[in-house]
Amino acid sequence: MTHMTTPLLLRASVRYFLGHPWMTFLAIVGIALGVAVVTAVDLANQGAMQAMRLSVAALSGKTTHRLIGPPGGLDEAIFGPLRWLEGVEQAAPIVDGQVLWPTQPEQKLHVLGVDLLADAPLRPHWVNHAAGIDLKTLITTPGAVLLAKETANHLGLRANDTLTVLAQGKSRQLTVIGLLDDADPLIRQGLRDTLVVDVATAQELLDFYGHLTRIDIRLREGAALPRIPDNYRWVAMEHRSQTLESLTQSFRLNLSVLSMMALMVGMFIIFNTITFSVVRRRHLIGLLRAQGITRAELLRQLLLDGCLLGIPGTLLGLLLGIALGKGLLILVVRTINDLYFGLEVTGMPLDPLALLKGGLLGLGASLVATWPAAWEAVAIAPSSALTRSSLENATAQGVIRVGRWGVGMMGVGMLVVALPGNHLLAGFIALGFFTCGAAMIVPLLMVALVRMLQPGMRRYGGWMGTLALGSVPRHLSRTGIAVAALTVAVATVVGMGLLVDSFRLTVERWLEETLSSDIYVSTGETSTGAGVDVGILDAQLIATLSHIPGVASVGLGRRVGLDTREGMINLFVLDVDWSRFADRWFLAGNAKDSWPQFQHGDAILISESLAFRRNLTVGSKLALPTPTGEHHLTIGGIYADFRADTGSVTISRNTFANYWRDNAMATMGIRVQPGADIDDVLERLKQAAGPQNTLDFQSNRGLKEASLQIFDRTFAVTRVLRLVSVVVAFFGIWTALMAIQLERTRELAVFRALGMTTDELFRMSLLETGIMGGIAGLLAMPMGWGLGWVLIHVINYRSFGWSLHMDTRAAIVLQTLLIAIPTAIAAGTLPARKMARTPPLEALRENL
Amino acid sequence: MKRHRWLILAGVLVIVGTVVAWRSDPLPTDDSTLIGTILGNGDHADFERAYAPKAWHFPEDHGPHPRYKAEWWYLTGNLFAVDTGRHFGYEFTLFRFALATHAKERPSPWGTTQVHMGHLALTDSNRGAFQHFQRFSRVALDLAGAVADPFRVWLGDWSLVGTGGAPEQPSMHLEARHEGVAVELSLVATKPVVLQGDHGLSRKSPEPGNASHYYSLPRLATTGWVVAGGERFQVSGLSWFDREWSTSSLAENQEGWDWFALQLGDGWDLMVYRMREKTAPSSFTSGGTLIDPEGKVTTLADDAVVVESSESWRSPTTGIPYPSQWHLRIPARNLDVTITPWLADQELNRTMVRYWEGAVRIHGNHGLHPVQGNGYVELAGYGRKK
Repeated sequence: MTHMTTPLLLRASVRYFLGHPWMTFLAIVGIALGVAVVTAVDLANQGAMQAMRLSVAALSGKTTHRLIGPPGGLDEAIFGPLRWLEGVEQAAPIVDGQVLWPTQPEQKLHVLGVDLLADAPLRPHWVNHAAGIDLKTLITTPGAVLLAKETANHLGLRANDTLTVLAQGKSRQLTVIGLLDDADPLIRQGLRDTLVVDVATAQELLDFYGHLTRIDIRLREGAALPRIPDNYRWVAMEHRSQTLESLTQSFRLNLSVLSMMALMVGMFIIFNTITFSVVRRRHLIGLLRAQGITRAELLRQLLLDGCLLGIPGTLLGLLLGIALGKGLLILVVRTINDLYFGLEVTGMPLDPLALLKGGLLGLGASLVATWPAAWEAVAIAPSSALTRSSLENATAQGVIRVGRWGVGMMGVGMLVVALPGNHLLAGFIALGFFTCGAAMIVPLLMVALVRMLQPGMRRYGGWMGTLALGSVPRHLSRTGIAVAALTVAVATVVGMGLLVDSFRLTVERWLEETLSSDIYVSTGETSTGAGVDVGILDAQLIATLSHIPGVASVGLGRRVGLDTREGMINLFVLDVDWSRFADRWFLAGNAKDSWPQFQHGDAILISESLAFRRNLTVGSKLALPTPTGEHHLTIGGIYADFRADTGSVTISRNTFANYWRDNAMATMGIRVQPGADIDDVLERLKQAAGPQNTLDFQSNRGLKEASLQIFDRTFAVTRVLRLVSVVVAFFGIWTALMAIQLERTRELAVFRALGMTTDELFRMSLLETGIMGGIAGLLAMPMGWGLGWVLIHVINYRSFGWSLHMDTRAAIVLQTLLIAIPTAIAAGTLPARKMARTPPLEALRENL
Repeated sequence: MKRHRWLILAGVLVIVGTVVAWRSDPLPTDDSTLIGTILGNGDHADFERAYAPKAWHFPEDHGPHPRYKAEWWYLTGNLFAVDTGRHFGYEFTLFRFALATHAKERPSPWGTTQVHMGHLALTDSNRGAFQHFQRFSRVALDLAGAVADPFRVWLGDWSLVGTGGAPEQPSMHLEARHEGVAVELSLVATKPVVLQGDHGLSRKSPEPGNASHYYSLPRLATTGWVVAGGERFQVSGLSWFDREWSTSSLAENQEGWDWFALQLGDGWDLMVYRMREKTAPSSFTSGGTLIDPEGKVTTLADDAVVVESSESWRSPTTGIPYPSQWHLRIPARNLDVTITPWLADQELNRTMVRYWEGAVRIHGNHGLHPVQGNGYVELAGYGRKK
């Protein structure tokens, strides 16, 4: 028996799937899209991670520790004694800084002065890519420069060319002695817009005599760090790399979870297709069961059906995922670039683990989605399998049971949110429970909604409306799933939209309130993460600029990277008057109370993310590493800061001078006198600074625009994921409608036989799908709002420590209808047309 | 069914294998020839070459000769623990390489055209241990340098410093430590400077200019301390100091050289070199110097010395076979000795140069008497592509 029936069942499945190519196609596409999104996000994340590791490796090589000092740099005399200390395997002196490329005044070039003999063991890739270049000349020839090929192309330079740069206000001639092959991303990343020179040339170019900007060392394992002067500091490189990875972890986790939502919708489609195929073959299944096929055999066969759809879907999904991943990688990297640090990616590694994971998820999801239908088919008695009404009866009862489960799951989700502690994982678990629960309630709510609408429809909707509305709960086993899938997809889109819009609105308001100066002047020193900000404003220059006609008042600031035990944070030093201080967006504590203490150095301010991460409140103390030792300072207030989720600390210039023994400032915020033209003042400032300055001038407007631009770029990834969710939902609803229409072939044929025209039938079908879309849209409103709430107040807060003002504009929530109804109608058009065109006789004869 | 399980297992293995193979580390590995790449060979056109014997001046010639491409201060010695007689061999060498001839004055003190390479090797025969270290530094600031008077050459905290004596028979102090190995030795020359070859011009091949200026202090009474294997030993013994500078010493057809510095128990010292040819490995240009106990020098002609290697040793690290025992005869002098390494593995597998430089012991006959002694042998250019 076994040998006979298994091929028989298999053949029945194959025939069925081939006989319904659209259904089969959609199921495959559904799972493919789900797998594609998960795989793409995974690959993009992996690619970004690899780029991050490579970039750290490119910049630090085999360095274990970096010695940095006060803004003036390290005394060069420290290098000799340090070089051959017990435990120091390698040590390399570095002098770096910036020069201007005069043909394009905005173009700044990074000068990296190295001692190749000391550097090669630490960063071998530089030398490995110098084939054909006589590296000796870099050391022996003053002004000799090495460039990466890409940089040379960018600047229009070739080997042996001379170039003139503007350094410290003076014109300097340099000679390109060779181009480094930059096929290796290490080179490309590490040496972008960089002039590699000898440490002697760097000192001569940058007027940095007697000093080094840093010393990179490789410490023998287990050896103690050499002793250094008080105002010098060791930075562990491993620590840096880890910090960078953990920095972006929340961001990457968020993306992964969002991609899983797409897979969930894909599962709906498979579930739908298999359930439908079982329903369509109930008769055959009943017959086979009556003939003695065991439950185990049947179950195995139905699960095999899931694989028949799942395997091609998964394979297709992997291919799509690779393609989509390449696009996503660019967006992910751009976000990391904007939010965290400079990163460039030249290729996406095809991480086989990510592909394996995507494949297993696809197959697993297919099997999971098949299980309920298979189990149901196996569980029913052979006799009842032969009747159709039993199914819909069971479904009607099931709706209530499933609904109860759904309520329970949402309850659990809320409980998880309410749990003490701020675990991100708990947040995601809550999100999962909430979404699943909501999806399970949808069919029940749909029935209730239809019941509520029916009296109205009977009165105003005509016979067609009544018929269309009535058919929705009548085919609950199909419509319930379709509407649930659409609701979840639309709610996801709206929820994510709510998050992004709220975020943007909050940031916009924050920028509005905190950027209170009209013009910002800075040294333009981009943060390379070295922890040294070489660029400080000359006190004389500050005085000159402060007295330019039209300048009303000036506030000074400085950003210093602070390497605390828990990672890098930003230290903002402020020298401002009361009105500027009060502009800070206080979330706890207030400006008035903390001002005197802040000025005297008794109190510091910290950002919300830092308060969140370290569990700090106003009045608690924070330990800050300073050149004069570790100091515990009292927190006088907590402010909003969306610049970086790593957190920041703000102290007064007095405090800085006191503990850091440093008084220099790096940025100026200038307020223009009432009535003065900002652009005029800006022009005067630029002129006063002189042509050779490397200063960066930004107007308030420009800064705000740039900030929001960065913000929008950052969220481009989520926009893509939202779009993909809608596409998947579209395929989901299409499948479901297809199923319904196919199943109702006979019913519709009866309508036709009774005299309904093709056109009327088409319109009725569309009306039905429109109603389903409308229901999904309505139900997605509260669900989308709820999802948005969880994303904003739970997921975002637990990931980044930013509290956002939820955007309560009704328009966003109303979007649900705008998305759901057109999606449903678009998806329903093809099945509706197909059905309407079927000749009644044929339809009546078919599938009996 | 069983067959299917095997298939599945095979499939899993294939997948795992692919994953493992795929996830190999993309970062490049260290390349030990990096610094060689940087220093390169370049062209020698601008450098001075040794064409003819020079006029010698001491102490000036103890110092650097930056117009020649390469130069070294080369100390080797056999030392014995004062209490137990435990044997140690040491090599300390500072190499100077010129990257360019023009030495422009530059505003930055980091500016330079000179590079020092240092080698420190210690042979601890009792433990069977051979440790060696290498350093590089630019000659700038006080990172590394060489001065004739008062004599001092150094690289970081490795230094060889003059402590007095006549200019042609000086005393010096050596200090070098690295990763648990250290030598602190005071060296007193017991014989004056020996000019090698033709009045200090050591021709390596018939081609003019393929020669070096070369002098030695063949016998330095040595006392001091050695730190090895976590222990500190008071030692005494004999050292040999070689000074050589040149721009190009090997001819096209030469593969390398064998060099012997032997100190005999009867007060005689002997330097022998053989330049090996690529084309015929057993063909040599050789020469040497014999120094009597009073310091009187006899130059040995090409055919005066017969050296035969009787055994060979293959390096486990580089796979290169080296000769490892020699039979050396100077028939005219009735000298007939066997030379055996204190330790087989004394190979320095290093960035710029790979060579075997090892402490050896000697026994045999000199004149009518049996004789013993110690020395150093250098084997350079083995394992090169022909």
